[in-house]
Amino acid sequence: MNEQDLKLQAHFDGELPEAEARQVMSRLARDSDAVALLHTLKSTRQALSTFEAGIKVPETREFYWSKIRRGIEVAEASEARVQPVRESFLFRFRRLLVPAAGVALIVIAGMVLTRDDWAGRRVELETALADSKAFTYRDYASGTTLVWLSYPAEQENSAGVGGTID
Amino acid sequence: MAFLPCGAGELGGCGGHDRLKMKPKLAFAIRAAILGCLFLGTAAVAADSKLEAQLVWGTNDKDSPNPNHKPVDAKVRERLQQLPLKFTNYFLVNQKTFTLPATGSQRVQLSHKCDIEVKKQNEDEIEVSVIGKGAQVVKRRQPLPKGEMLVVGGNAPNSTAWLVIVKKLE
Repeated sequence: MNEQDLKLQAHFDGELPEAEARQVMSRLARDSDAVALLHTLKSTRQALSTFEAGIKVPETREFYWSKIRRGIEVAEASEARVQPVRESFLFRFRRLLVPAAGVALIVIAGMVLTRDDWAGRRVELETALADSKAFTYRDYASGTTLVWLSYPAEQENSAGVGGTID
Repeated sequence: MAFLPCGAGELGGCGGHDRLKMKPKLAFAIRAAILGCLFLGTAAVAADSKLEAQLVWGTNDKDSPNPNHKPVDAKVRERLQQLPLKFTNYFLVNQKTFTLPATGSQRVQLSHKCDIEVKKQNEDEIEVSVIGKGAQVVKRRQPLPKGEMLVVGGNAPNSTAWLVIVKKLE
């Protein structure tokens, strides 16, 4: 919007001195764009005045605005009452508790999964170098060690428990 | 006592600290108590152990030809069945409970031709020798804490087996 248009708007609002108002009038007589702008301003004012006329406040003006003021004051007071959030010890402890619980779960799962009962029976088998006929079997789950001598059985073996057993 | 550099009857009495002086009888009692604790502690470490030895016959037969043979205890049977042995039944031929001294060894006869000799190595470790017909068949040294079981076995006629079981009771 240029200076001429601003002058036209001021003239429309009745704010121009008489000399400048005459200049605007002469411009309106020869400039169709200025006339169009004036029509636009008129129709805008009319539309706004129609819209405003439709709104009716049930209370008096003073009471209406005092309600808004009180509402703002109440809102400001309640905002002032809100304390800044302080992290209590319990809150911080809880925050630590979550990762700690996660680590504990992993450790427990590891322990459980590596238990003999869960990971299968842990056994150990060894053969004595000094006696290739003997081997040792160790069952860690039951805490039992077997030393087996795989010599062929005698009719009455070295332990004296063959045949008649004892 | 050597660790009390000051004169008898005083604890920390050097330099004339009268407040730490003790009567001779009290000092003697304290020393005796310390010695007693040391003695008891040593005795506890080197305590005797109570063990049990069993001679067992393993077979697939339902019954033993010897009516004196009884099936082994259910717990022993369960543990034997965890071992890679093919037998379904285990009969107790003989069972002996014996005390193993803190030092030295103990020989136990399980049958007329089967003995074992057990020697304590330290608090939990033992050495077991199985002796058949007077000759050592096998010697095994291993930890045997309470509740664990050492089984030494071999083939017997008719696809059966003999087993010597050693357990620590106390």
